[in-house]
Amino acid sequence: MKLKLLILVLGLQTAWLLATVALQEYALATGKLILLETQRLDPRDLLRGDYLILNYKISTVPGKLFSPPVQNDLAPGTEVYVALAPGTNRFYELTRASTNAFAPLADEVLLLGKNADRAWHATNSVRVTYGIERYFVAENTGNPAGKLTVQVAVPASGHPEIKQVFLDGQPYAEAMRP
Amino acid sequence: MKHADIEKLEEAGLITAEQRDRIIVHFGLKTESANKFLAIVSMIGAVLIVAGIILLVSAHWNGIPRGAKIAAGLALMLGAHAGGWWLRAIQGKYRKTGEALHLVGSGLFLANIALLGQIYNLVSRPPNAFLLWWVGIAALPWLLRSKAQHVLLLLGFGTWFGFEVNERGWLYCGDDVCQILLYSLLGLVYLGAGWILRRGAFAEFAGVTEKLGLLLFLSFFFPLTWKEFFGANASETQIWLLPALGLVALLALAAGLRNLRALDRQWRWTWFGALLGMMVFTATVWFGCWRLGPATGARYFYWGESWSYLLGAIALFVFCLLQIQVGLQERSPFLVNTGVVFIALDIFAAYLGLFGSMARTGLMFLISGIFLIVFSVYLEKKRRMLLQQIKTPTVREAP
Repeated sequence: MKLKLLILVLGLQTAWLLATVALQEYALATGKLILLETQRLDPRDLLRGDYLILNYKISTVPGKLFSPPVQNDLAPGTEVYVALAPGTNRFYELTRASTNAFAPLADEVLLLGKNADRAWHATNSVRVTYGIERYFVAENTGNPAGKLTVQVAVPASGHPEIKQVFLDGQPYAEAMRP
Repeated sequence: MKHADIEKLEEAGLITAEQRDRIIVHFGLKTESANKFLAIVSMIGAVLIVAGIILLVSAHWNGIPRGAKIAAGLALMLGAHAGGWWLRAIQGKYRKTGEALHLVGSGLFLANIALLGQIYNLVSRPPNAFLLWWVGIAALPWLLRSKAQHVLLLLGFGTWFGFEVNERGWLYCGDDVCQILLYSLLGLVYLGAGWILRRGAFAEFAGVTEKLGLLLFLSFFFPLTWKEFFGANASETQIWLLPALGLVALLALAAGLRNLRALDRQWRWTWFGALLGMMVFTATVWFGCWRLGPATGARYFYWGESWSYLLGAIALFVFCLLQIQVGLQERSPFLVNTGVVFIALDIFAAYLGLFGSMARTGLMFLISGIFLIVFSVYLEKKRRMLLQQIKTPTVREAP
């Protein structure tokens, strides 16, 4: 009986781990791939090692892009829907945003993010996080010099995932190899 | 008389299996004490292995495909548990090593959560990872009847709580030094849980739960006796948190109080009253009755701005005296030892608080040194005398 219960507990642990893997892999395999411009910071995580904090251009959403208009601070954690479309270069750029869900146009991609903090009065913009702000890297390679771009897979759910990070057009790990 | 000795008697055919069981039950012998050294070495080994694996994960294995990393992580975790089960339940000879392997397996669950976070660049709140881990291993102490898993569970909960209190969200008290009061009360929750466990089917978990709880309580109460303690109040502190935690602690202590069978009714309530008094004092600090609370808004301060540290020092001193008395009645060296240690720390903190401003003079160092040596010798003598009292068998008076 005890063995059966132990197998059940370990089965649940394994199932959770495998379900996370399956969800992430599905999103990476089926999501629409877009390129985003970003800049980095380089802290360290207690369990997972060095990582870059990626600060995207699309993380700062000007208030004028919101429909209906946003006049003031949104509560931290408020869901924000953001539409991106290909810009003049190959990078996707902000086109419109809303706190309500809306259907994207044919050339648009819809991202779902959250309002990060109260910064309205300083910037007249909303600071949005998308869950793609961290990129884990090999130890002591968190100090790149060059232009960072990120290839992101956007599934239908709107929750983006990092597929690849490029440094001056080269995959990050290759570019940072000594 | 050890558990292993009784087993040897049975193996030699001097007693039957039934007699062995009766002797073990009669004298309350435990297998754990049979091989303490092996147990300690196994535990340290398990902790080192888990730490090494976590560091390996954080070192990022760039060359290995992510599928291989995940498969290796899962295989190690399940393999550790399978090995542990085989050693404890099937082979039966190396039970402590088996327990250590189960501990490694539980640690590897946390490592696997971190590995997935690293591979898929998951952005999540750190306490959530610890909570998930804690929920994942919560059933194991009871299923495996493992004291080590139980300690891991308690430490895991404390770790989650510490992270949660410092992360923006429903328990947020970050940057507020008063969060030490929460950890202190968490210790009392553990102490109460230990008392409750005394009479249950898992009575062997009671001792370690009580010890961890009391140590946590005393360690985080102790800073309240420091005059030079520097901290900050945060306006975002969840003010309801301490009363809520205090209520849980109070309920747990009240529910477990009747299980303190070595104490008579009067001492049971005295001990409960002492714990309640300490909780009330922490509440006065939390609610700013000493000008240190969040009512003043976000600001930095020294603990010595109010006289709370002096009352804290007196409260801790009286509490520790009572604790030693309870320890003598319960015949618990742990209660006596920690009581003496915290009396020493308390007196030294009070001494520094009162005369610390003279610390720049050579005479002050000289007097402090002499005081420390004489005081240590006195306390050590007292401690040995108290422990001797515990070892002396009580003589029951004839009715």
